[in-house]
Parts: sequence; C-alpha cells; structure tokens
Amino acid sequence: MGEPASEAALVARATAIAGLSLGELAARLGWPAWDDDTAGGTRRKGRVGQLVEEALGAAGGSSREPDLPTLGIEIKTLPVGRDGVPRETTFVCTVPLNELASTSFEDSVLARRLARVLFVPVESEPDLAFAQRRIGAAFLWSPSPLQQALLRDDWEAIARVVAAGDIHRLDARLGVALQTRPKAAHGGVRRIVVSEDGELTWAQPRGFYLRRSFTAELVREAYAPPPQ
Amino acid sequence: MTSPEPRIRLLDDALIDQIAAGEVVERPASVVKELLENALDAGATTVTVTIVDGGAESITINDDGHGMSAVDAVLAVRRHATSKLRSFEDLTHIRTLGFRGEALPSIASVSRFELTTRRAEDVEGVRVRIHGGEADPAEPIGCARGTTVQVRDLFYAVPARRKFLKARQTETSHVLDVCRRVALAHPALRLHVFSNERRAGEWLPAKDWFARAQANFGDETLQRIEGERGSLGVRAALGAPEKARTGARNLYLFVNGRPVRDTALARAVTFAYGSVISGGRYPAGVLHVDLPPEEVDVNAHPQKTEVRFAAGGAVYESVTRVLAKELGTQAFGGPANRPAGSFWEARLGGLGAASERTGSQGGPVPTGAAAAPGHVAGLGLSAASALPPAPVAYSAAPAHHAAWPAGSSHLAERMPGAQGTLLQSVTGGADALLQPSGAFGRLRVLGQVRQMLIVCEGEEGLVVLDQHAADERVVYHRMKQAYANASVSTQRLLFPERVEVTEADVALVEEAQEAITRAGFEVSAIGARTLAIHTMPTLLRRAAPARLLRDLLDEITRAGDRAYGDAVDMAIATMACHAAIRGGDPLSIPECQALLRAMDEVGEFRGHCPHGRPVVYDVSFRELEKRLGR
Repeated sequence: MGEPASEAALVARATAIAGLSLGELAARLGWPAWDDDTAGGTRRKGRVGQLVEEALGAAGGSSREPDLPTLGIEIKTLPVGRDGVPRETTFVCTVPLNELASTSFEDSVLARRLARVLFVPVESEPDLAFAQRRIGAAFLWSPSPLQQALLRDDWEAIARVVAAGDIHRLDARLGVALQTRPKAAHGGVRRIVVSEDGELTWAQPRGFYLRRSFTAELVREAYAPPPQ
Repeated sequence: MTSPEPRIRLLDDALIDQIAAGEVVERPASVVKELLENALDAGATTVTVTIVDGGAESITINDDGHGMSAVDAVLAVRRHATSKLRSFEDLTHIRTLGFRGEALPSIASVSRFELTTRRAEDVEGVRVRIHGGEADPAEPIGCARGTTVQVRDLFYAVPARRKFLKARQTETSHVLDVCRRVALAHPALRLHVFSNERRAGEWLPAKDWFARAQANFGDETLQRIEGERGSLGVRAALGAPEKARTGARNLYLFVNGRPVRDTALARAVTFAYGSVISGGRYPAGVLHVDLPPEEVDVNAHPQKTEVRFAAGGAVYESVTRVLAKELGTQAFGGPANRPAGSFWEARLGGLGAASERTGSQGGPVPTGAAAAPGHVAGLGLSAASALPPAPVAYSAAPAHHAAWPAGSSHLAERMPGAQGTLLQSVTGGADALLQPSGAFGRLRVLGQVRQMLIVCEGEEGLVVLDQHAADERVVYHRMKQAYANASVSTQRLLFPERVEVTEADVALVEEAQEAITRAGFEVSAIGARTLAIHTMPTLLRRAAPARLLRDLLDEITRAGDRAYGDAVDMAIATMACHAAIRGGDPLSIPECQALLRAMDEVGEFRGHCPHGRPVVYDVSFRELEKRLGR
C-alpha cells in the first residue's frame, strides 16, 4: 500500500481502521501476534506507531522528512486514556544539538514535521493488553497562529540554551508546548557537542516532545461537541 | 345435443405446483431453508450453500448426506413424494424437518432446477433437470456421495413474483438468517455460506448447543439455562437484560429443533425477566423447547415456521417459570429477587403489565388517595411519596386524563368509589394554563422532588413536571426538527464504539446508509459482524451509542417496505427516551429552568412524552385552599 494520493484518501484509510484493536490490525497486515502482557514496552510503543504508519501507507523514509513526504503529513499515534487525556508526551524529532543554533524555527525539522499532523489516538490504560487497545478516530491538525507562536517560543528558548553551550541546563521543565528529554536506545549513548567554553564534549542526545497538556488541548478541540 | 363444457376444471400439475410454490417459496431464503432441511434429514454433516445475487440468480446447496437412488431422485421432484411420512399417524409423530413432499416440486416449478445425487453404494449418480416444471429425462452422472441441488433463475417462470424480490443485500441477509437458525439448531453441522464467491458465513462444528449459541452472539455473554417441567424441556442461552433490543428478531426460538416464529413464546421469555426488561424489548439469545411430538402440530403452515401447541398456555407458563427460576438464582438477579407475589401476579396472574412499567419509569403521581387526611399535609408536594401504591388497574392512561383537559370527572367515571377524592384543576384544564407561548418558562421553579419531579409555582396553581418525560419530549422535538432539516448536529467519538451485530445488520447498514447518516450516525463495518460507530447525534449524547444504533436498526428492520426515513422518524422517539434526563438524575434550579424554557419550544403534544405518557400535572390554588379548609 503506497502513500495516499490526497488528504481525503488518508482520512478514509484512518477511518477504516478506527475502532479496530491493535491485535486485529496486526492480523490484517500479517504482523506477528502481540505479546499478551502489558508490562514494559518501549519497543511495543514503537511498534504501535509502525503498525499504524504501515496501515496508512507511510513508507518510513528519511528521519528529516514527514512520514508522508508527498502530502507533507506527519503521522503521530497518541496514547489516550479512558478519560480522553493523552497519557504520554509525543515524540516529534531529535534535537539537532550541533545545528540548532544555525537554523531558524521555520527551517527546522520540528516545524516541518508539525506543519501538518495526523494524530491517531490509541487506547492506553495500564491494565489493557496491547493487542486489545483500540485505535481511535484520527484527526488532522495544523498549528493555529497562537500554537505556532508557542512552539516557536519554546524552540527558540531551547535553541538559545544549546547555542550558549549550556546543554546540561536542558531539562524537561523548559518549554510550555515543547519539552526536551534524553532520547536514545539507552542511557549510555552520547553525542559530541560544543560546551559553553567552546570545547568539544559529550552529551546525551535529546528529543523534542509535545507536552501532554498541549496534546490534551488538541484532543479537546478535535472532539469538542458542536455548539447547540 | 352436446352438453356444455363444465366451467369447473381440474388444474394441471404444473399449475398446482406453482400455486404451492406461492406458499412454500416466498424468496431465495425459503429455498435455502427447504433444501437445508432436506440435507439435514439426509444425515448431512457438512453443507455448503452458495448463492449468487442474493439467490435470485443461483442457489446451490451441496451436502454429504446419504444421497438418493436414481428412482428416488426422480420421485423426489414429484408433488407429495416424500420418504418421511407414510400415514396420518406418522404426521403426529414428526421428527424430521421436512415431511410435506412439496418443497422440491414447488421450487422446480418456478426455477431452472437441477438435482445431482449419489448414494455411497452406487457406482454412479443421477442428474434430474427441470425447467419451469418441465422435467428432462434423468441421466447418469459421476459425482461425489451426497446431493447437490442447484436452483437458477428463481421465479423466472413467474415474473410477477420475481419483481417482489428485494435488493441483493436484503435477500442475502435473509439467506444468512435462515442459515444461522439452522446452525443454531444443529451444533454439529459444518455449514459454509458463500455469496457472490465471497465467504458470507461459516459455522464450524461446536461441542454443544450452548457453544454454538455463544459463538453466534460474539462478545455478548449469554446465560446458560436448562430445566424441565413435566414432559417439557427448556434450554436457553440468553443475553443480559440491559442489552435487550426492541423486537424479538435476535431471539431465536426452536421447538423440537425446528426454527419457529412464535410471538407468544418470545413474550414468555421476556416475562421471565420481569420488569428488568421494558415493554417491547426482548433479550438476545436462543431458546430450545423440547416436548413430545404429539403435543405440538408442526403442520400449521406450509413453511413450517409456525407451530401449534396442544396446550399452549401451559407451555408458555412453563417456559417462563423455568427461565425465571434460573435467571433469578444466577447472574441477572431477575424476578426471583423481587417479591414473588408482585411478579407472578403482574406477569402471570392476568394483570396488566403496563401498570408495572409505569411505576418503574417514574410515571405521574398517583392521585387516587391524595385526599386522605394527612397525606397532603404541609404544601402537599411530598404527598406522592406518602401515597399508597395506585391500584394496578389504575394505569398511566387515567392519570393522564386527570391531568389534562378531560378533567377529573372522566377519571371518576372510570374509578367507581374515587369520586370526590381527586385533586381537581379549576383552571379548566391544562391548556388554559399552558397554551400561551412561554408559559413554561414563566413558571417559578420551587425545586426537584425525589430526583424525578420538578415542582413549580404558576399564576394559578402548582405545576408538577415529570423531568424524564419533559426532557424526552424536548429531545424528540429537537431531534425530529433537525432530522427533517437534515441538520442533525453530530458528536465525533474519540474511540469509535464497537457493536457486535449480525451479518444481516451489517448489510442493513450498507443499504440504509443514507438514512442512518442523516440521523447523525456515521457507521462503518470493521468486521463481518462488527460495526464501528464514529459519530452520534449531539442531542442524544446522554445515551450509549450502541443502544441508539440498535434502536435505529430495529426500527428500520421493522419498517419493512416503508421508506427508511419513516423508520428513522419512529426510531427518534425511542432514542429520545434513552437519551433524555432520567428519573434519579439530580437537577439544579438553573437546569430545571433551562428545561422549562426548552419546553416552550415544543409545539403540539408538549403535554405528553413521545410514548404518550403525561408530562405535566397541575393543581389550582383554589382547589388546594378548598382541600385545606381555607
């Protein structure tokens, strides 16, 4: 299944899988069965994204491009609890520690990825086995001017910290819409960066994440009942 | 002199067969039913049903039964030729599914018919072909053991009948329904159904009748019930009362293994649930009634879907009692948990069930004993709770007359001995108080009583509203208007609601997609028997989407030949009831006021909920003063 030809075709594909459980979708795509346990699963979380992307026709190409490069649309699965609130932050892209200072927000990978996003909610409760988790109704999103301004402010604040070489100051508290957190296969992974003294040093690779409060607002907007 | 030619003549055999076909063969599903019965009577363990274009173009049924000899094969297609009956005595002890010897010739008379069969001991089979009642000579043919019947171009010889066939999906769903009934009755049978070269249904051998029933209803947990009363055996697999549906089409009834349609028997099942199932709703599930063949007449209808019991009343009562006993002692906490007297009196003692339902739904305040000293002490607003229960015969209808224009005299006529005991409105009926536009909105809300009634002060008296009935009327009115204007506002569901249904329902959703969408539901099939509800009407968001969709599908199914739009219109009343504020919901004063203002939007019939129950009861101050001796 190739990339859909239009946004409408993409939405139709998303609607066709809405309501299915992950187990059912995996079976349809010929993927091996899911483990029954719900414990420990960073790899399983990644698998959810891959499964949904395959079902929607994403090729899984360059990490700098959106998942659907022709349409310019990024696909993001959103683990959502029974209360309708996202349970986790949403990974967007890695923080390019050595390029951040020389890039503008508009040219950044983050801005390109978030220009048009198809959010696909996936049921997420600790007591619910992965195979039984349902896929929700997807919604297309582009940042409103206010949301774009929030993202830019956060991105620029983070860029300033990186440019100043204060990478050790980058923590999860910085940012209103965005958040940076270590992002690597394990805690021992390091990258060479420039320190505040101008010397090369080692630092943990980091990723840009959308905060839960930010995606919760997106969910609220997308499913708000129409005014009576 | 030649005698005049007689005006009365004997009909020829072909015409007799075609007339019989009118009774036996109604649609492709009837053909499938008859041929499946023949296959089962021939001892088949595996049957494959293949239909093309809903069965109108072709129906092929292949079985691995014992087959027929060449002579029997030729005889089988002759009218009233059967191996299952020899004498009238046999007719009273029927244990086979077929027996009339009418099916094959009837089918053959209105189609291009071909029968191929071979017994295990024969080296070659035989093929019999009949086109529109004209038989070709039988010819030998090589074939597997068993029988294959192919029926092509059904009703080609009777075009008037052919034009009455419905859309392909509808006919397919009828065929699947027939197959499901057969599968439920024969758990060991392996039954495959193909429609237009696609697998449309499959029933693999199950270990017993209950496993078969459970598998058929997907994720709905069924209660297993088995019991006996005298010579009558009852086996049932029944769904939970909260999943009951309007109409009995998901309740499959079998008498001695024969699928039947019997309203009284279905009602006997709902009686067993007592008041946990509201009127008109039936649980999903399967009921098998086993009794000696001589106590039931299966020859009541050419299609054998109706039976007559020698002692119908006793059978129905036994079924109800067996089921009620088991339901009460197991998961549902049904009738046995209520005082036995009230249950059996209301359900089996001949008293009206309507009165029991009215009570449970928070109907109008009974007024029969309101004048008894002390009951209306104080303001009288809490009197309802102190009143003794209304007599059973005093149902919702008379109470409505008391509240509305006919006035108390009407009620007094109906209730001898009640004269002078009724609170009477001296405003000349509610219309006088409520007709002016904005009348409800001008009422001063005094409060909510028993989380069920809204008590208000009007210019000339006290006005009491049933909050559920009032909101039901408002929701119904708004929904109906929005539907008429094709402007039903919808709420998107974060996670589509999954609903397990039958294949027939899936086909129905495809067929009635436009009407369903217009009603505010976006529904898609995500499995052979699974629907996903993506949107629901905003106005109905208090109700469970699955229940609303079932209400809608039930109404559309029942509508039959009527337009789907009409069916949706009728379903709105039921859906409004499920989505309205319930008795027991606490309401703040502003919420009560909002409801009253909304009542002003409603035009005609605002005095009653869509099901006819009264919404409002008013008492004039003058009457109150008189009662209180002022």
